[in-house]
Amino acid sequence: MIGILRNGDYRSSTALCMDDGAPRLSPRLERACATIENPGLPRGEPEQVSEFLPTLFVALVTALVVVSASTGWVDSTLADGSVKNNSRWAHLAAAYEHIASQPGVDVIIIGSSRLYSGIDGSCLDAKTNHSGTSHWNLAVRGDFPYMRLPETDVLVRANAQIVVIEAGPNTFSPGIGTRKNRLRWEVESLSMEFDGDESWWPLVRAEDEVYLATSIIDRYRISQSFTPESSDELAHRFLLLGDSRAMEWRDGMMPDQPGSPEWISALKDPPRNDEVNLSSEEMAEYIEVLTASTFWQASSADHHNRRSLEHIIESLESNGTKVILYAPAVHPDFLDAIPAGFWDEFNMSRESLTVDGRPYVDDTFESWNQSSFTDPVHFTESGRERLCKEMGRAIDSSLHKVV
Amino acid sequence: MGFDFTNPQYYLWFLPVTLILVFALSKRKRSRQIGILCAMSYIFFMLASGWHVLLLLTSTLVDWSAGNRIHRIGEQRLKKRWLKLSLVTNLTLLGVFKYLDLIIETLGWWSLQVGGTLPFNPPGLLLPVGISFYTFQTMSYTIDIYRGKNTPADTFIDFACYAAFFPQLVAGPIVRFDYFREQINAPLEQSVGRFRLGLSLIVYGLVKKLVFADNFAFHVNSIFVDGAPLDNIILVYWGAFLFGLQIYCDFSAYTDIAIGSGHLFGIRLPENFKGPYGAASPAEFWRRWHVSLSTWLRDYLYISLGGNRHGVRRMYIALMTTMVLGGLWHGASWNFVLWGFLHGLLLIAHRNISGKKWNIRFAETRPRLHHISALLVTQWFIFLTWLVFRVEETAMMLRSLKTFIFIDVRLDPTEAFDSLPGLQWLMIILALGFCIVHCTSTINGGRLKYAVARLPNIRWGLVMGLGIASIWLLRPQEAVEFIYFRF
Repeated sequence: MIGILRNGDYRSSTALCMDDGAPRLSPRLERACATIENPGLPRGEPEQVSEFLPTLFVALVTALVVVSASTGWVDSTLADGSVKNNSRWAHLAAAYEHIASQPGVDVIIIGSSRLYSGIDGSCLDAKTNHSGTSHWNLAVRGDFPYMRLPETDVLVRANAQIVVIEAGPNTFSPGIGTRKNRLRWEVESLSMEFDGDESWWPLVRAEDEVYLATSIIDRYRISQSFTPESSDELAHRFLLLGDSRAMEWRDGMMPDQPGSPEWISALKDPPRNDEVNLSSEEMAEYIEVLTASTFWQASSADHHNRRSLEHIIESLESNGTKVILYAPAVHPDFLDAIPAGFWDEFNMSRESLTVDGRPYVDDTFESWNQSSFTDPVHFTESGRERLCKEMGRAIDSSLHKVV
Repeated sequence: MGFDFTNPQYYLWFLPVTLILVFALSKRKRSRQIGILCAMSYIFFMLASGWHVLLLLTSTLVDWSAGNRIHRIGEQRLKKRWLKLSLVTNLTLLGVFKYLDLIIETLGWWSLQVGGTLPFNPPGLLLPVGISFYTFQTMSYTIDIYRGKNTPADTFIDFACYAAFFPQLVAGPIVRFDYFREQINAPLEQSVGRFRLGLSLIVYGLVKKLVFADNFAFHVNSIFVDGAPLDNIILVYWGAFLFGLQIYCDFSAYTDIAIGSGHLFGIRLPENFKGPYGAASPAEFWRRWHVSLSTWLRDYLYISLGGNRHGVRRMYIALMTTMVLGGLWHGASWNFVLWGFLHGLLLIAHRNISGKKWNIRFAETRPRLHHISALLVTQWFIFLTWLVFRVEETAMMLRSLKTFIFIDVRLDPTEAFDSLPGLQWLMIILALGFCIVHCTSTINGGRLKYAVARLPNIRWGLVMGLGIASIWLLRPQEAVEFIYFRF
């Protein structure tokens, strides 16, 4: 740096250039000043347009290549759970594809965190009387039928013999969540292909269509929305020389690559966080929240979730897939706490869906042991064992008819 | 989204249409080119600020008439009267649309203190975009004519184009008329080299704004909120540091895009920032930060108040008045007044210290150490004043300032990390990256962006491509308005 001392004030060359009264020290400084004040044009003769256009082309191609390459990076950090702790969304398409490619009889179980925590597919495999039957737990935390709509086609194409769909009181809530919930669609859009002509598309609200990619531009746009987080992950690994932050959580993840042995076990018996038993105060507080929540107030009206559920059932049944509806049990304290008539509309909804001999196993009002639950609605190891027994029985009796 | 330089519409149709109209349809016809630029500038302003375009027109008409009269009339008394008309009109526009709410709120507060209430409320007028910039610009026109430093514009359109030229209309730089006139004296011409320079500056500015400033805003906005642990020294220093970077990237980005847009039309606009965080004294900071405003304040306010011609005491008064009013120029809030006052104090303190024998001896014997110490001390104070600029709520501001000067502080890295909204690692990389680039650029006289523009063809294409990709990939989902857009 060129500098000068004047009145004890050490001044850089830039400062001098700005001070008209400052003495010019050297030709070098003069040149530096001239450059700042009159930064002007590139050196040499003006370029020709014919020389300039290829450079614009280089700029555009570079931008496209970098953006495309970053999509791969973003997708991988989404899929391995480094960016969003529910990387299951990123893996669902691969999971359905894997199931479709498997020989033998397949049973797919879909639903919310209740079945995610409650179903052990390996247990069901062992319990069934039909050898060669695989049970796949593809439940997703925070699930409700409207959010499941975009998976309809891949679910049908999986060609499972039986699909068990969770249909408890929460399933019939008219609530369809907020922008935050649509994150799942955005993540799924990066691994599933939509074109806007799907049979379920008319059921999607116009304002929600933006969360589903129907073109490459949409995919880039959605991928871009995760780029800052993916870059943050890259920076984290770079600065701390660390591993993926996916190691920080387990619940909701499918941590292993499709096709690996761990991948199959994750599809059957997904990884879960360690069980934490709630204290009686925490349990009471939780129950209070649930009984006040609209998410647990079923409605028998013709709402988005109801229409979506019916569409998924219809799509599966028209493909020859047997559908079993299942309402899991709840904690006995929760059952005691609900006000009279709280789930009347759930009962009405259930009745209307029990047509043409479609099995509907309803454990909602069954009194299960407290030790089956970690909280009012999620299952412990012993709860999983009981669920395995109950559901295994229902699946087996249906398998008799379809296999 | 308002119509500004981050709005895609500006690049998708506004710039291309204006370029075609100016160069393809009006080739070498100077008056037509200036007329089109003027018309498009008014369209730009209407898209950005709606009916407020009438205020711009008022200011333009008054200053055009005043300038012509001042130039033609021989009698000093009448000249002064026309100058007063120009100043009163512009300052009234500023006063009503920018400061009326603050004045009424302050009066209301004082009324409450003495047990009364005001019979009216602040009108809540929407601040017209760029009013602080174009009023200062047109005032400088009439003052220069009054001082005999300049002659009026040849035509009204030339002057209207100067007042409304869209690249610098809403957030500067504040251009003097003689500078602008030099650019439009001849028909506007374009060359490939100049066009490339313009594009380089636009991309450079967009990277600074969308990748750096807007991401830094994400953290800054979550730090200075109610309930944040502002006694945690890490959090406050991180917030002050990032806000300093945010405001520089935000404002200098606007200038870069403005200069770049100007080059597309063959018009050069002056630099407004010259590596301010490389300044080793408060005086140097003001020669590097918002140069067009600080020179305006120097030429039209500080010198008018006597400058340094009437002894040290008068100089200090002039300096402090200039800085307080300069602070108030930034917005209708007492924070900005305090910010200006603190900078006034810093300038006075620096004037005192730089003449002391021990300081001169230190600088002579250990010039490098002296420079580094001066740089660190200056920047520490600069970042302290950013807290006053940013944190509006008084209790929060006082708490932040106490923490910044190490009073009643806690050091809790975990709490600081948990208080941030995410993207911490990305933010560290961006801040580090910015510091390295800013230091390199400052050491080289602020020429990095011009060095980029001069790269050989293929390398230029690669750098531009990377810039465009980073804008696309790293811009936050929520658009953040330019900070100086409403000043």
